[in-house]
Amino acid sequence: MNKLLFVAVIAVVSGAVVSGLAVVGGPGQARAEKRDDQRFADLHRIADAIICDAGDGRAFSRACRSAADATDPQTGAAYEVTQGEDAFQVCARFELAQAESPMRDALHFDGARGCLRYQLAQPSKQWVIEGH
Amino acid sequence: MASSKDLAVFVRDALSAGKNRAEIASVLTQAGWSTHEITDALDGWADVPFAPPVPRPQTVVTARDFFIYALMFGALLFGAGYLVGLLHALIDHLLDASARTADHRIRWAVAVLIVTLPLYLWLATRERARLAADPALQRSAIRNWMTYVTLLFAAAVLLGDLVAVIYAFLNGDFTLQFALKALVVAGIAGGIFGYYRAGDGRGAAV
Repeated sequence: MNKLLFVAVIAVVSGAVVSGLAVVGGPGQARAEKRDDQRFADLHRIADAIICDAGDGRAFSRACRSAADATDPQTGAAYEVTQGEDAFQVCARFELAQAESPMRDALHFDGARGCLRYQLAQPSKQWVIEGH
Repeated sequence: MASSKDLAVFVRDALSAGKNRAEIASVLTQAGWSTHEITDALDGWADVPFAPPVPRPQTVVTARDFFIYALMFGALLFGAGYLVGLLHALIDHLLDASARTADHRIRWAVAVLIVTLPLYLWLATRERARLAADPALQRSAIRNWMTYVTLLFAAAVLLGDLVAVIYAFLNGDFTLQFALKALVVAGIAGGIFGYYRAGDGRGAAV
């Protein structure tokens, strides 16, 4: 392998590796992504439990799954739940910017705080998620 | 039916008896041996005026060669495949930044390249130095086989890439994104093909 080719191969591959890492970020970024995914899943779990407890779920034979153990993966704090008669929301503080998570379109963002909002639809008495 | 071992013994005896090569070739042809087999048998003995006939070295197959070359070409093919994947993911990211679905692909490809690139370069430069020091090592049958297997892979990928380009063109999907990706595949497979095709001229001479 001649010198020029050797250097060219190293340059192309390390260029690709460095730009790859620049795009996806390092291990810290990956951990933050995983925690955000966990928060998103927790919010859904809490919302499901609330809807279940609100009455509709009693009609089913199985018991409501509790979401009492859902806490923020980093701080261990409980998630913020705001509940009214015909609407509720569950919120978490996300680490990454909203733009980086197109899969979480359902969330209503206010800075780092993202919320899942549900409303009791009339007259069907079904809880529906509030879109944008 | 005589085996090729009998053929080798016959050629040696005939050369010992002082027959010339053309004569031997013509009687063997009459006996039904193919030109290829006759050339191989005659090439086993050096064409020098000396009795008894002087044997030429045969191609060698060693376990060490298999280990080194299988590892080297494995690293090359594996690394090249993931380099293509990584560049494709980067093209996707550049032209369509909203999609973050490629993150795992990028991380995996980066991990593969961090291992395979140094391994391949180290093995390749090491073998090159060994070959330069002792040209007789070029007779390694495994080395030739691995080279041709790599050429086959590279050629297959290039042809597949060409088919994909033509298909995308006919199907109306020929976008900038697609063109760049096809170019990446062609560049990497073509580079490997060109490098080993050029290297083959030196290796096959023996």
